[in-house]
Amino acid sequence: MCYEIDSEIVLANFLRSKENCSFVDLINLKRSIESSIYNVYVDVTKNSVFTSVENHPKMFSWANEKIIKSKNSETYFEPHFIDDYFNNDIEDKIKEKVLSIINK
Amino acid sequence: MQANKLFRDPVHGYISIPIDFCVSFLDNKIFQRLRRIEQTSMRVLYPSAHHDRFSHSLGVFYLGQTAFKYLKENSPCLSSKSTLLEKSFQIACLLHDCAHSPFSHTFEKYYILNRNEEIKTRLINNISDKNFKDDFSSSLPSPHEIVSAIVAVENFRDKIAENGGDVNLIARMITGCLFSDSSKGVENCLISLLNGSAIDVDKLDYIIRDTWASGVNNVKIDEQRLLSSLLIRKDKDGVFKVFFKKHALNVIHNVVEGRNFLYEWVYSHHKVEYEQYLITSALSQLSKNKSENDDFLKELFSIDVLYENKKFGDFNFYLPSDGDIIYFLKNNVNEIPEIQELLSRDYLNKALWKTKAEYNHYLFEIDDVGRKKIYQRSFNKLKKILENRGIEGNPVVKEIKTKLITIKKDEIFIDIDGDEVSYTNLFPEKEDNISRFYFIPYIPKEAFRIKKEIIRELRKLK
Repeated sequence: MCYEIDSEIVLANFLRSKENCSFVDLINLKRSIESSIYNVYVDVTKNSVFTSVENHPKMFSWANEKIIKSKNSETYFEPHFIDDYFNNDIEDKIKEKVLSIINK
Repeated sequence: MQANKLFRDPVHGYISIPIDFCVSFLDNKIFQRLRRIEQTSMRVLYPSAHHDRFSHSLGVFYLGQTAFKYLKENSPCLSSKSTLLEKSFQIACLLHDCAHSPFSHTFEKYYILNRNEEIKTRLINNISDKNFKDDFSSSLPSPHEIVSAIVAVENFRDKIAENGGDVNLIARMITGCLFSDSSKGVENCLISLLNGSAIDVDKLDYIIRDTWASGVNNVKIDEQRLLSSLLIRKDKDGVFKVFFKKHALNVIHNVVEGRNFLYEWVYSHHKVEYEQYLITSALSQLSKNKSENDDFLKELFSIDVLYENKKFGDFNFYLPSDGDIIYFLKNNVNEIPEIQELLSRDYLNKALWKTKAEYNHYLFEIDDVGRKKIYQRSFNKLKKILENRGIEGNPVVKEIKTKLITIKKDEIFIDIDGDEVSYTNLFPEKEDNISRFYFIPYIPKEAFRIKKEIIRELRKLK
């Protein structure tokens, strides 16, 4: 059973406590999650990351090849919103571990 | 004078490929395998969409060849070192998908599942360019791009050298890995012309080819007008950039429109999405039945089966293609219900709503958060409704990720009489605050008699 985690979940959780997210950040998070949990695929391909930003204009924007929080997006980065909107999509079996790695 | 072979292509007309390229790259079991890999998953919807990665690869070669011809005419910077770059670009265009997995993007993640670092290291160890490792650590290639680059450097290395290409540069072009070295500005322009984010020859071919193969009424793209406008020159900061001359503005607009049309109405069609669900769950189930820890899928989607025959239990894996997957599934039709459904196309479930427009209609006045809650809770709710009504079957709920694009600030540059103008200054980005989240519940046909009631119940989940 392959568990797929979309880049939007990684981005939303990472940006909760950070100013920006670079491609290197995403790649490192992918590496950490995949090496810690068997059969997890974290989709941080160019296609997925660009789609995540495009599909959530109220939350994510581009600035100098990095992803930043959009203007007036504070409410979207409150813990309960991220948990309800994004984290509920993660399979229960792996949720705690995935989030502990991203939020480290 | 170089001798060429002519390929008749229904999309671009005659494609002329040097015989040396044909012998070195095309007449090869790995490249010929692409004839048996479907280009897209929309075949289920459009009966004539039987085009494959082979014809797409030739199409990308043709567009790359044409683009370079115009780049040379328009860009003085290309004249001195153009042969190596031109050959490398052409070979990269030809080989860019050489290791695409069966059913294209549906299964490509299995190439790197549980072995991402091992696969990346395999590529890095094959590249002699000392900066590649660092540059690669900040690029975001797809699994099929990484594996295609590995096959290019492992299997075609000597042939690339014999044909005047640079194997390291070709690996960068296939994976979209830009140089951090500022002296490689022209090379970076060519990398982005094959593997860019907004417009490149790969996208250009699939937009035109998928439109042709499906027969849908999409916008027309004048690729000659677009490619003839290309030039590479330094920008105001002295960095080499790709520019489009002003006469291509209308075509750039059409490329974006055409691509988004396909993603919105064709690739994300509810039938296409359901078929994807069926084939993915059928193959996952087969892997679970035949192996522990998904070893079946790990072997089937390994690089080495592109080179040699591998036995896995009763199975032989060698140059896997779409037909092999269907054959494996057919042999196990009695074990996995989804296979019967897939083979007959007599789907047990139907989409509760078929388009984003219908979804917006049924979930009107419910905000994004409410809609997401409905999505997350709808599977259990639907199961309960079916049980209570004595309707047999299992619902399926799929999130639909429509990959629409808008041109970002400073992504495309236009040359207006020598001036450098960002495309978004001419056509400002639309104020787009609409979330594109969208899902489709699929329910048994019998449940359609209570469709309105089901939608009412789902709305309450917000």
